[in-house]
Amino acid sequence: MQKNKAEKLKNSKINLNKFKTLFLMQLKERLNLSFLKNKKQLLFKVIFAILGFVVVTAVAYLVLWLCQFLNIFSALNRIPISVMAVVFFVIFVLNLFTCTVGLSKTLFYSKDNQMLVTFPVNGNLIYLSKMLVYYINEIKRTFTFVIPIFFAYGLLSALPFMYFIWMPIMLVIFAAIPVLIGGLLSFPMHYVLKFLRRFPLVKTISALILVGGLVVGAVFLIEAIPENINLIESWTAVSRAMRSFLSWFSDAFYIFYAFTIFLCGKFENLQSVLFTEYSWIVLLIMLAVILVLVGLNYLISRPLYLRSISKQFEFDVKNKKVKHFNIKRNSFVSTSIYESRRLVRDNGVLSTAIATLVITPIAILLLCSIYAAINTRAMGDFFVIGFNILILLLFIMASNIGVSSIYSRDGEAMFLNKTKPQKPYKILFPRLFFNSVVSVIILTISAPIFFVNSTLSAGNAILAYFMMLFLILAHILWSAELDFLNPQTVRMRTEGILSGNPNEVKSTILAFALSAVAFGLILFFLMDGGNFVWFKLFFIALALLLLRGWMFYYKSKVLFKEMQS
Amino acid sequence: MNYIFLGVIIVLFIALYFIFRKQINKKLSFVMKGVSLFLAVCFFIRYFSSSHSIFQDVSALSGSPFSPFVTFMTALMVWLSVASVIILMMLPFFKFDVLKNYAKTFCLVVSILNIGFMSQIIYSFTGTYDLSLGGGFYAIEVGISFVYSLYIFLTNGYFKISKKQGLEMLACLPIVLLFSIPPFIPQTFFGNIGSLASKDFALYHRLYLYLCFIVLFGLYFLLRNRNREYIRMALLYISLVTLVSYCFDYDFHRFIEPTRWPLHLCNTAMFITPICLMFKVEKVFYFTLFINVLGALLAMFMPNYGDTLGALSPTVVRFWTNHIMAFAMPLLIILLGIYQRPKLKHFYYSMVGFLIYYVFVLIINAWFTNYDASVDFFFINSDFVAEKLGTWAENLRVPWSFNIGSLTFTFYPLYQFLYFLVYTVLGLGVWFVYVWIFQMQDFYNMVRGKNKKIKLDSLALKQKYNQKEVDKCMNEASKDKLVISGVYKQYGNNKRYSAENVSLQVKAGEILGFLGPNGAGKSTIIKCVVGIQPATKGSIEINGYDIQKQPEMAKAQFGFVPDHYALYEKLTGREYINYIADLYNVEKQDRDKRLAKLLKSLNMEHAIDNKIATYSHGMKQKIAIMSALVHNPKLWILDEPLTGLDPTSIYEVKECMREHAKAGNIVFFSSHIIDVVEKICDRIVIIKNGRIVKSVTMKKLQKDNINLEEFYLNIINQKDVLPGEVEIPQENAQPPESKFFEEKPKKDGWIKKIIKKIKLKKQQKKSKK
Repeated sequence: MQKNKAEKLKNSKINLNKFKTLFLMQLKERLNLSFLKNKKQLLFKVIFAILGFVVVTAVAYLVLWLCQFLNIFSALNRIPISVMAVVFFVIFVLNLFTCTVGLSKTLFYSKDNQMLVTFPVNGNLIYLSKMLVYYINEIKRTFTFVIPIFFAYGLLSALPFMYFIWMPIMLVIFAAIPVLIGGLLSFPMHYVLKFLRRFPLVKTISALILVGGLVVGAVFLIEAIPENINLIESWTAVSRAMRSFLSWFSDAFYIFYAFTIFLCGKFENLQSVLFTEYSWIVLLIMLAVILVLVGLNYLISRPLYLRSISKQFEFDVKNKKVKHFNIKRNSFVSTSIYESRRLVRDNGVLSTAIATLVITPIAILLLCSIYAAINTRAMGDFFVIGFNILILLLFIMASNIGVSSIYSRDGEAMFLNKTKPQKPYKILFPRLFFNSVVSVIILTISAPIFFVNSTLSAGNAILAYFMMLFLILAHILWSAELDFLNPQTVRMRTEGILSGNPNEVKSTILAFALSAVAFGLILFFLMDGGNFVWFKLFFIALALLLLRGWMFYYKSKVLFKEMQS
Repeated sequence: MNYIFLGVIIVLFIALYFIFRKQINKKLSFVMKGVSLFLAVCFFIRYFSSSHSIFQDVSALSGSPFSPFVTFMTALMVWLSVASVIILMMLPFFKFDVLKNYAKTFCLVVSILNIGFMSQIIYSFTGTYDLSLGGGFYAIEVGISFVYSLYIFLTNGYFKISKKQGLEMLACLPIVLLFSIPPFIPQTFFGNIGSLASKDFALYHRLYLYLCFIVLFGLYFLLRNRNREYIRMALLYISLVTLVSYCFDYDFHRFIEPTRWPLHLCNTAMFITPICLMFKVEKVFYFTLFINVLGALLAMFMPNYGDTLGALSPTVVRFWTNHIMAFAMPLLIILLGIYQRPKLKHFYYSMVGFLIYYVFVLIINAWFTNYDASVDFFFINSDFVAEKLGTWAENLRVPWSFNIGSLTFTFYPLYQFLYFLVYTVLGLGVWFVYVWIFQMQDFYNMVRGKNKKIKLDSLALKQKYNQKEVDKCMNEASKDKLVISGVYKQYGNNKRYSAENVSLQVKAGEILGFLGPNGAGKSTIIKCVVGIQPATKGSIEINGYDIQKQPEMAKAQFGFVPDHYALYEKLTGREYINYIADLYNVEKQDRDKRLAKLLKSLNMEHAIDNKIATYSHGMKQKIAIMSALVHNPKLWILDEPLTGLDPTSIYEVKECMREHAKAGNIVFFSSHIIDVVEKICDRIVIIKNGRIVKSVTMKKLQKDNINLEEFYLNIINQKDVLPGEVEIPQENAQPPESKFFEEKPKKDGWIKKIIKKIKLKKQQKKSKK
């Protein structure tokens, strides 16, 4: 009896060695730590991390400096602490949303659950290791955005040296809060998703209501924009409104305001005081909140997680009994159709497409309404054209980032394509059909809204339309090429998702780079003048598309047969 | 007078040749080198004897003392004579036909025309028709060029040039002509078009920037397939002719003016590049690679010539010739493999070199300012760069002066230190850019190499089988068979083979069982057969088609069931099979018939229209089997198809295999289930450590009353083949050649040499004892 008790006690205790193994295994998978073994890679990684930190800090500094320079938030030529409280609040809300979605995926939909559950470890260890890995990832994210922003604020406001040590430490500790709340919320979210999956009609109706509400709300807001905005004349009113909003925020969301003061200190008699009498109280409250959340997670989320991973819910779909017939199609058409079907049946892809289809025209309409209300000169018109095209390209290209994992999502089936009696490009190329068609539809709906409201002639508008189309298609081809050159099927096999896929990161960078270069060139050519501005842009985009198309064909011809996981 | 001197020179050289003909022919190479160097000296003295060029002020053939035609011809001859002299100078040092052909045609014609326009040419740079130092040396230069090219013409088959050589000459013509253009030629011929200054990214500035990248990429693509010596020759020619162009307004007197010294960073590149191409001076080259390229790029973005100069004025053309070369040449030298790619230590050397250069230029600037206030090497003495950056940068220019004797030395410590620091950081950035460029180059070279191999394979195949079309069966002997011949497979850079020298033949109607322990190489062989992995060596023919050389046709001959059901789970079973049937171009009637039969025999009629995601493991495996058989393949390959199936499913699959073989097809499958193999196979092949160790028919086993399980275990447990993988033969073990970070064998230092000698002597003493 006593022996049994001792064994139970032993089992309930955390075995640190096993926990370490479990934790490191998942951490290596999530953060791809292979670079640690290679000194050169490590050096590059450190340099790029520092560069990334510097760049974000510099951008944040620039924005804050501009606000300070223009006295947007305060006449005292500095950024009030309440502004940072708003920034902190927004980041917190976004983090909370990301953590909830991310944790529901990591805890309930990750394929490694099936493997982890078979290991000779206590279920609690699996749960704890998963949460800790997610927390480490969250710390990494904190260092990517939040800390550089506060770092920039510290530099701009000439805060004491101690701030630059205190602030990162506190933010690292604080990062546990969204993770822990996300851990608690992930379970109800998982049930909601499960419910929606079981009742597709409810899901469709909810989606339609949400989309409809968004559209109506957006159009209502756009209609509310006054016909003539004169920022200079109305600046006093705008400035007053902003300040009263900040004041209201500081009262309504006092917790965030207090925490920001706890982080950055206060200005007393134009002197910055980092530690106030309340600092230690806030610190204690924060630690207490974390402890309570840890307890709640342990008591509520952990048992639910352990129960859910032993259940299989993938096969809940009802079987249809409708008889179908065989149809012969050309291999290109067949691949395009079946790929489109697969994508349409994938909730993530379909919802991204619908969201882009709805949001892009609204965003363009909003931009055009604002610009129309502002009295602009020729240079202003150039910027209006540039910004509209930039927004269009960014929205559509961002919706195509998934193309950079289009083949890897097949998992092992990707390599079976190599056994088919078709030229590689005939198998790879048609799979881009769905994204290309969706992009064309979005562009065709959104671009005319911009053209009608712009100073472009009909001929130039057509050239601009095709320029954007070529750039979007070039981005799709480029992203797809990234995938078949460096397939991520192993990641797909272990995690079942493609989070942190390096190809998606590259595709995102490409989307930003292409849009930014297009924006720069448009402004440059428009300012340079001449009659062939849009012809030049059209041909540059066409050349890029042809180059990417040829590269896609050439590389698929030569390298597809050697593609390995 | 000049013509008489020329006549004397020509007669003298011809006479010397005839007098010393025997000696010359004995030591021809030596003599030719001597003549070339003598020509170089004459050219150097003539070129720097006077800078007075009438073409400085000529615009669109007007403004010279000659008629437009004579002006045109004189300018043209000045241009072509630069190309001609450099070709003749390089001739004895490079053994390429193209150089010889140019010497005997182009140089001969140019030297004859030079004789015709000699007076005008001499006048153009001396300002007199009388015999002068420059004129005299020009006469010698023309005389040597004429005799030299005539000699080459007479001793190298006159006008005999093959079609290939002619085409090569034609391809080289743009290089020969374009790079030797003297800076005044564009203005002389076309006038000073482009009234706007070529600065601030205006049209002409952009055009020059485009030209820079056109030169870089054009030369790279033109030369990348040539051998290293040929590339060195081409780049040396370009660097020498552009150096001549760059020096066009230099004369001996101008070297006295300190401001005219070529000490600007990009000016130094003009001299460093030809030196690096003539001699192996690594440290100097890496200095130019890291420091000059960056400097030239920055200078091209912020040209320092006047605002009023036209786009084709000699100063502007000279600026761009200088900077395009300073930017493009080091890059071309490294990308085309003349020098090894840099290591980190080379970067350090270049930074030390830069520090030395910077300190030197700092002192020179401060010192020479006492004599000429405009001295501003590397733009660190004036506010040229600071002005472009804004007031904040100008505020950093806090002067600090001291006197040594009557000389005042002024420095701007903070500004000059930050200038150095920023340039060093940019240099570090250049390192990363180069690493990225080299990676890109390696990748594209690899892709090009593979593409070339595909083309060559296809050509070889055509030639081997009497120019048959590639989509026709090449080898009739392999028809209705699977023939694997000497297949080796090596994964990535792994030094061991996963399959080694695997040869096998399977005939129509045969069911072959492929047995072996885990990791023996079964799946590797199967992956090579179906084209998932290319074999490292050897060939695989399926029904007469080669899987590597005729992949599409070969793949149409087989159906494949992998060891894991890799299916598109979002599709229904029917959709998936129809998709596969479309890829194999199966007619509707055929697929209806086959699918109906397969659905019945595999008992899948009830589930075919459900999504694959809802299927059990066995059902998914059956879908994979149906999709493999929908086009009725000649060869059916199954990689461990029975794993995880229930007994009924195993029976159904076995029946399918039997039926397929009965219809005159081949069934090739791997399995661990010995009982099943024993029951349905005609023959088994056992593979161990990547090698086939046994092939035996079931009939023979049955006749000898041997149990397959025991037979298999006996073979697997034998130790004649060592466990683990098989070593690669030495010739294949070489890693691919990489120019990047190439290591030289380390030489022993003198201390190590002495220690070695002492050890050797000790050993010798011991052995004597």
